[in-house]
Amino acid sequence: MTTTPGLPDVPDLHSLTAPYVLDALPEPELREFEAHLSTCSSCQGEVRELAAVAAQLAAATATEPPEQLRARVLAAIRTTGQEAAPDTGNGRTTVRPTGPDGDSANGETTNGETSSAAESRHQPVTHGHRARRPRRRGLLALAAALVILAGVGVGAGVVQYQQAQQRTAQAVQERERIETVLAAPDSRTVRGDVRGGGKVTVVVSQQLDRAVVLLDGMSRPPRGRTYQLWFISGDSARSAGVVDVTGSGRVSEVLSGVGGANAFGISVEPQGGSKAPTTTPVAAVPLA
Amino acid sequence: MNDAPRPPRPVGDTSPTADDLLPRVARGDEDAFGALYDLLAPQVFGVVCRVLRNPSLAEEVSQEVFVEIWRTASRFDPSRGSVRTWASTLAHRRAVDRVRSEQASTDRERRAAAGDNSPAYDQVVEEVTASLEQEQVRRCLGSLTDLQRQAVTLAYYVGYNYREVAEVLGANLATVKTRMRDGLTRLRDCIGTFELGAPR
Repeated sequence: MTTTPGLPDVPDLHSLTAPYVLDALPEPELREFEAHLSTCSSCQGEVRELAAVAAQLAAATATEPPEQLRARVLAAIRTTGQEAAPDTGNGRTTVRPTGPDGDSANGETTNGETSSAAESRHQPVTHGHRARRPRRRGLLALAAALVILAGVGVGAGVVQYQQAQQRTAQAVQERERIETVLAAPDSRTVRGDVRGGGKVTVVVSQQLDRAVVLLDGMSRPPRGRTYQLWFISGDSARSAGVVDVTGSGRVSEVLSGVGGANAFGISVEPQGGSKAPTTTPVAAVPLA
Repeated sequence: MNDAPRPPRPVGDTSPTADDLLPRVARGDEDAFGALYDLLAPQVFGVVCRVLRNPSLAEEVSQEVFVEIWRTASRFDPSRGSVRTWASTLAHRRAVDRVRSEQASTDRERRAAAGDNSPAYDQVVEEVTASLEQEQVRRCLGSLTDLQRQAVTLAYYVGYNYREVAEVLGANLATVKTRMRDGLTRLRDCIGTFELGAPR
């Protein structure tokens, strides 16, 4: 047990190992401690040991989970990619193709995409190589992918320097907006299938009141129709705008005004959009 | 190897352990994942349920934990501890995050206020301890000093951060940190003398 005499305002980081493994460190101490942990090998040893004791406290609560949880979990992982090992880790994931699942209401996956807090504690011990780094890489790769999908800043054949600069600035801005949501401590990722083909991924932060929406593999809507996005709270739906699906079938949007919505939906509406959904949504994923 | 003792296996039982299964899970083996789920689900669901005290929410959070195990299996480093420890770390972390975000602050304040008359607190701690499935852990918790047991229990099973624990116990922060550490160390020494069975 070390102390820091004469420095009452400096938290004695080394004394935080026990609160850390008990998940009892509030911010900003949690962040400070994790930074310290990455450089303190004696703390790492202690955290590792105490985490094993905490695991015994968990084991003591063992309870048979409901039957249906197993099937749900197995269904969920079938639509979830796996991260590459850290040494090859570029944050890319390989999502195995999934079986047809027409019923998006039950087919959506609450993906275990984590809040950064949980993610950064991927393992209770660090050796200066935090899980946060792959996470960061993953974020960057995802953000970059989203920007590419959004068709910003990667214009082939951009000839004019000024235009290119503007695009770059836009891309950076877009990427920052996306990243902000992805990096929010409360961000959650949910995925679902779109009826008639395609997948929807929503990364939502209720704290920031924003959501990043990625549509992929979408078919074009019928002539004179458009896809409209909705934030659904209880039984009311607020429009989050209409989107155009081009040949790529990919769209990414950063939406603000989540407003505590508990679901996100997509419906096919007449060109220009509707005040409220007029057709059965082609996708709905839970946000809360 | 200071990690939690491996659950003993009946002689002749060659079924794979969580540590055996994880590398296969990391390679995308869904059957291995199913077997891993069977091994870890009671512990994951149990701790999440204990912290959240809401079975349907606990199901949802447990699902998130398992999806995360699947997603990040390749990043698991066996030199840092067992798969079982890793899984309970993920589960507990998530449950606590959720309890802090879900719980109306008023509820927390009310419960914190209840701490003013400490008997309520002792009761919470006693109830939690009594409800534990494993007699050894129960017994070992019982061997701690009151303050050690309260600090560990309120933090781990109720989801209080150490400042809240200090507040409800009317102790200063340094004391609480020390009690948590001493409590865990003592638990380790006590539990370490037992071979814990696998939670089934």
